[in-house]
Amino acid sequence: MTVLSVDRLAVSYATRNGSVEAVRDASLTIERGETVALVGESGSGKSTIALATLGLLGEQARIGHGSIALNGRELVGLDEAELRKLRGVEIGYVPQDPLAALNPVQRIGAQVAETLVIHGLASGREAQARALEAMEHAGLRQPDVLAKLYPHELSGGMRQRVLIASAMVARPGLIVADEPTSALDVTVQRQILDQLELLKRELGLSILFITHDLALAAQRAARVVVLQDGNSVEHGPAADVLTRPRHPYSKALVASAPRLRGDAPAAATTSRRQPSPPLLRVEGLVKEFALRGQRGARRRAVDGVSFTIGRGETLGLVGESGSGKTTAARIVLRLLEPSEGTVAFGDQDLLALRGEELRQARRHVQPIFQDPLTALDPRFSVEQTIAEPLRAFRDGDRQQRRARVRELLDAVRLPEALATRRSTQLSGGQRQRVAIARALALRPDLVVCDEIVSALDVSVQAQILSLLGDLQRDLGVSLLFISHDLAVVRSIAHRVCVMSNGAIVEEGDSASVLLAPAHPYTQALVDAVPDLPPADQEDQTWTSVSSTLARR
Amino acid sequence: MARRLTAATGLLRNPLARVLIGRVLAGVPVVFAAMTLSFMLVHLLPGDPVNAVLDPTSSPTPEQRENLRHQLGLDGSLPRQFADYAGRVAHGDLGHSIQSGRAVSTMIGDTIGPSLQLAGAALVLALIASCAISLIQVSTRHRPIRALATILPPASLAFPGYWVGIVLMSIFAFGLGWFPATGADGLSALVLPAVTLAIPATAFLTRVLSAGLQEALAQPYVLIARAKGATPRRVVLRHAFRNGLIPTITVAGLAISYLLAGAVITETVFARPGIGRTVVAAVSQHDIPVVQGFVMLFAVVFVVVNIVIDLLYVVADPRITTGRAALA
Amino acid sequence: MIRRVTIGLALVVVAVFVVWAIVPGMIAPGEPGTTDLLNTFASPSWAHPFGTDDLGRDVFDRVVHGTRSSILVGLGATLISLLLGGTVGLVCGLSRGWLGQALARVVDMLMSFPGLLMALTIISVVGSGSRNIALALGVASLPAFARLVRGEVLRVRDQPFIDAAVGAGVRRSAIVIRHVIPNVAGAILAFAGIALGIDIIAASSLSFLGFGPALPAADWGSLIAGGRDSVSDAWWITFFPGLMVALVVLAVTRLSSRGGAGPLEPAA
Repeated sequence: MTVLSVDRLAVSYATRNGSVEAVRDASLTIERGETVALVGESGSGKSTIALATLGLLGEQARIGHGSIALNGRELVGLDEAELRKLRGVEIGYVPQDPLAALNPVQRIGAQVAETLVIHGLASGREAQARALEAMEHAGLRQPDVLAKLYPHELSGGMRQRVLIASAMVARPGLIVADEPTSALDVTVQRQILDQLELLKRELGLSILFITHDLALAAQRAARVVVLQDGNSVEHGPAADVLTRPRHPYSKALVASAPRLRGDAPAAATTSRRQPSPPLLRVEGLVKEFALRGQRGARRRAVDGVSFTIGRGETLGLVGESGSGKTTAARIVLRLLEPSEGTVAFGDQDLLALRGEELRQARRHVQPIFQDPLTALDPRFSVEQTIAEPLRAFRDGDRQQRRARVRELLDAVRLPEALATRRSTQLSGGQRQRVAIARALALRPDLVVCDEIVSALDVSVQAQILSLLGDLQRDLGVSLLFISHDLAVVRSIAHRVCVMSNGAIVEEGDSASVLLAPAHPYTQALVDAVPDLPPADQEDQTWTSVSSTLARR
Repeated sequence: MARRLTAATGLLRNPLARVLIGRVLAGVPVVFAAMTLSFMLVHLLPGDPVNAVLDPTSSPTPEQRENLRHQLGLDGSLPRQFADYAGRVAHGDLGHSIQSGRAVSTMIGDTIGPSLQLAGAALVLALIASCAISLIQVSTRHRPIRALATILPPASLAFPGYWVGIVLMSIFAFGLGWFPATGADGLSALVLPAVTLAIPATAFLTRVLSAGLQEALAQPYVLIARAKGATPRRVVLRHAFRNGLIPTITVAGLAISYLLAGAVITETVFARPGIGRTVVAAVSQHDIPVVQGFVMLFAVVFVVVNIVIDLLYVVADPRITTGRAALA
Repeated sequence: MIRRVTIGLALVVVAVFVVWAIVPGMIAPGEPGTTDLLNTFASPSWAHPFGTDDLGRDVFDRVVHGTRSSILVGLGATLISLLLGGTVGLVCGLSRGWLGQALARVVDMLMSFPGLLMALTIISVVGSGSRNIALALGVASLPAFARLVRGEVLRVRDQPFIDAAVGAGVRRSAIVIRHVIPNVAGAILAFAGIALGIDIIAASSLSFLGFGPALPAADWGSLIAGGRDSVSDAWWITFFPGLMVALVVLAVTRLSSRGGAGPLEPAA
């Protein structure tokens, strides 16, 4: 029996600049007890479809054509009061951001029970009892204790379980889960999704699983629907779509997804490591932060970290959130003072430098940050941004700087015409290319890349990674590459350090660490990563990636 | 041993008590700063402060000058003067008015009652009105009403308070004769001044409250509530309102201290007795000890109001008292 | 569409007041203080669009001639607080050491003191008159400016593009001049417009209380104070000057906020 059927749906939003089509022609069906993944990049319209199935599109949205049928009943055209009766009872919703999705001033128990109260299914003690039961189903231990707490007292994973419990409490037949785990660490993601699967089997649920992560979709769903610019371009069994995609877009998407297992791309294999003394030597790094509100209490964000980077080498620093990897990077960049430890660059003690000496040293170590939008001054043109380091070091006259900017734009494969634009007028990928050009302007020896692709869509991410790999090879620059994404690190790093709770737990060649981890923590991490089967004809797909996605 | 320890820390464990103690302690430097400021007031006078206080046309005798100097606490070294002043203030002695010779503390005691009445009435009016206006603004689907609720409060701030008072007076007192124009006899005399004073406060509170409501309504938890099938009414009252109220509580202290400042104008317009009129008279007569006394009064009021606000905050927002990520 | 209309109206209002302030004689020829005891308390008419007062003086003439001092005092006050408060705020926001912290505390403390009372306190020391009012109001709203600028500087300072510039080796002075100041300027100028409105109202309030300029140059606040006693007989004497205050404040606020936040604090 078909639980949900979306047929040729089109949704547009009224904006100040006219109407914008978010969904053009999207179709999908979900059978009872089935998980269907809706896969797409940002702006593909996947969240709009989720909201449309709940009838929560808002005043600005208009359904152009198409139908949405829930258990055989047409939802398009139903009035608000009728839709309200379905929400929570026949269709449950699990959102992306588990903190913001819980009311900060209401107790957990009341929030889980709310659906029952709203629909008059239960009240008072009975509602509470059913809420506790739902929380237990969602894998929360001691639900009676948790029910009395407020959201901020729970960890991210627990909050997401609370949201699952609250979506489930009235036993709807369908759950719409919109990127339910993308704000969570990969090990937590695994636990949450395992729980959801268990529930699905126990209760015969159907799940519409919305994600940007192909590998995750492949792992969790029976069938996959690929969404591009509001069109569902391909659908079929997960295994088929992901191993033998037919539509060019799906092919490109499958090809650009970074893979953890299998052969690494060229960038990471052509090692140019030299036995000469390392370029950067970090030893015994410790950073303590005072904890707010608790006098004398300190937290060690970085706890005795040591590593080296050779000339022309890419070192990957991986770890989950809070592992201290970004703190370590900021210390290397001298944006943060360590509590203990040494950072030696060549034969120079970086930590001993002050004032103008320090500034001169920065010439050799340049940063690239995560969010390219906020890392570029919105008032600067692309040319000003890229030329800024040159100006700061009085590198050449105006003419020479202009020529260098053009050279750099070319190197990051951006058209010269963009030079006069502001960063706010660029796409995410273009912005990150500008940031790369800026970091390379002074021909540094080391570039510190802090999560530089995690804000980007997978196809753009693939391009940036391949660009960075090429530049690294051509220029012989060393990279300290920080990321939470093992597959991304695998595709670019020669060597890898795995961080957990402020310390490095494992270190070695990226292939050996990520494919045959020795430390239990690394093993758990690697196990939790959903992965795609290795792509067959790599060369062919790579060319199709660049042709299909070149315009982004 | 363990039990005694719990008893001792018990008081500190109680979040309300902890906030209360912290706030009272934090108030000490504020009062001290106000005292320093009011002390410095006399010394900031250009030239000899005695000249500024004395009527220049009356050509005072040297004896008068010395008397006044003593009265202002201006004899002796500067640190000595400050220590004397601080000592007197600590004992509740705020000096005497140069004009009337009355103790400043008595003057405050005599006038604070009607002013608190006025400010309190205005606060209640402003709270009710701002809640009503911002709830209407976020819940109505009627566009003109929404526009009116959005535009009217900030626009009302452009009209000077004293002028609004006079206009209200000429309409409702002289025109319709509903309320007395001046005085402080009974409740009916309170209506016009309280409304006058409440208008800018309403505008201020409405702006903060409706911004808070709108921000809350844009949060994912509101979407979740709707996905549970909640009605718009439930969404606004159960979910958005309490969250939207939190930033409003933060600025309510500011609103109260401005209500007291507004009383200066309102009391003058409606010829009501109160601290406002006393201050204005003191300022125009260069009655420095009285001005100093009222500076101190406002500092104390500010500290007290902030203590109350912080306690309200603790009640409204569970994130203040319960530990962060206790189970993380 | 509506936005354009209101901004256009605001521009017209400001232009009219600028003309009144610069060449009042052209709009209202003759001495504004000329009494006409045969024509006291005349209600508004073509000859006297705003009516006449208790001495038969034309209210419109007096309003036009009062424009300059009414607006100039506000402008002066805003300028003082913009320059001084801006500097204090910049220092607070940029200095990471104890100086910034201490200064910020002092500013917070002063913020808690209502501006009008602070101004009154200062006037009790320096005396009344236009210049002193401007000074008193300027100092009184200095903390608000300092706090705003500090907040903006802190916000910008925490932006990743500042880290990027530091990491790239850009000099501290260049970061302040090229990144920080341009990125805080917009918000501060918008606030200055709002503050101008607040200062104009506050200045007129102080005039109303009797601390304004001496009679010949009587500004709108003093006009209202003068007409207060006869409000039961002649509402126009107080009504029109107050309307002028509101118009100029509405126009200035409209132009500076462009639909954003209204005045940050209730003006008395």
